[in-house]
Amino acid sequence: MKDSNFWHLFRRDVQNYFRINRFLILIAIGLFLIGAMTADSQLSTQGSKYGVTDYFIMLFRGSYPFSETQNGMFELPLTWFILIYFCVYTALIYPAQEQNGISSPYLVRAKSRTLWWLCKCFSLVVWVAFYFFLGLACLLGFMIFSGYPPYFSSTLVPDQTACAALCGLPILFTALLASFCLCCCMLFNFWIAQAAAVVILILIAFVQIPYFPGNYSMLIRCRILTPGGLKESPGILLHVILIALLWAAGSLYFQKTDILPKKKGDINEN
Amino acid sequence: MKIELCQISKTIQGQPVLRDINLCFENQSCGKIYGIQGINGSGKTMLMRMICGFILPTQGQVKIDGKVIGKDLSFPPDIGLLLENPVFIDEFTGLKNLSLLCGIRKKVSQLQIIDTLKRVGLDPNDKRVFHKYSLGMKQRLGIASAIVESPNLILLDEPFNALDESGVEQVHRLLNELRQEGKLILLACHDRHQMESLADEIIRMSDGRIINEQ
Repeated sequence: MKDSNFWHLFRRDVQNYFRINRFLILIAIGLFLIGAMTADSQLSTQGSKYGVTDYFIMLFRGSYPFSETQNGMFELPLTWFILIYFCVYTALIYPAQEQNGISSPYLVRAKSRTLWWLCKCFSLVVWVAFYFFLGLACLLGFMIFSGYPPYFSSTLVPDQTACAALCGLPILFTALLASFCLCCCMLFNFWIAQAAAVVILILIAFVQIPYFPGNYSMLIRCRILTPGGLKESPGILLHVILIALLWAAGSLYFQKTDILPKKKGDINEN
Repeated sequence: MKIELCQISKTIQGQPVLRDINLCFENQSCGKIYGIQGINGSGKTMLMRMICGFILPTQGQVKIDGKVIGKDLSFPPDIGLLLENPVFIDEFTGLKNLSLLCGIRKKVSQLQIIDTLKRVGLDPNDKRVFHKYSLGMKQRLGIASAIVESPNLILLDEPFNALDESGVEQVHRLLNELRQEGKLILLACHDRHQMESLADEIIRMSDGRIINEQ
């Protein structure tokens, strides 16, 4: 396995993710710390001891759909929006650069287009997982710095399994959205993929469509936090299936697509 | 190695870029340099990209030793290439960039990588990173990446771009050495004189068509 083409390409992709996004990691840390401060101001008014997962739940709690808001004004849950969008943005920079034809010597060495595509997909998931792990570390750091005991257990959701499932939903949704945008990147370009991410996130905040994956990323809409809300287990299954379907569709498309540098007038560049 | 292009046509966004191409490139017992010559926009790069497997024909087939690209193979199995402007990781030196590239197949040792850099006229001990390289040095590194693993098929698109006189001579020498080593080399170049002094066979292209073979 360690000598396979997949392993070498995957390792290179992961390294490149960190190399290209190294400065953006600092911004991510800043965003999570600002989010932690906001969550802290909301949690501390409730007068209990909270754990890291409570802070995490507060960051990604999102909002109820527009029709259920009481004052009639649409409010985008900014913490949820910024943290997810920033992850998608950073997750696309490297694959977009690669798709712009700069990696042709690597591509021929991959031997297979499928292998190449799957390496991009898996490394994207590694990046998303790292981003959320970094977020948890920032929350923990914030708690320690603020003099709170660094609990992992949750007060808002005492059942550990349910809490883990709940906290997994924003991560899975971000991986799904990033995978979708990766396909958009291949079909169109980086900026159209970014626009698609923004539109989808705003749409999710605005409406609640049954079984639309984004709803599950707003934890306040889940049954554990809101009686009668969405069940988290179908959400997890739905996300995993959709990620697999997107990867498969992307792979099939990549088999048949022309790999050209996306430059203006490329056809006449000979 | 044998490359066959059978009745190839390619249309991109409604614009025909290659039209009815029938070609065969072959090195039987000894190496051979095929030159593809034409003005800018004649279809040289597209033809190169098609042989690499980066673009798939709208009509026809590209076969590498009888195996069809896009069906039996994604890319030719033993290929080194330089297409347009070589791009590497800006923050790494030439040696590190090349080592990273060779890390995928692990076919060559560090000594062979160093030797290749010397062969194209680059100093392996040069601590400058890629984005501080001159255009000529970038081009040399691109050529090094194409030949480092000693592939049987070498595709070079405008390899003399940005090279000074001594660089051109060095690449000439290198290509002749590679031919003697038995490699099949496809060379796209708009400069007729370069081509005539190097290639065993010249294919001239215009407007996506082959206009004659010599």
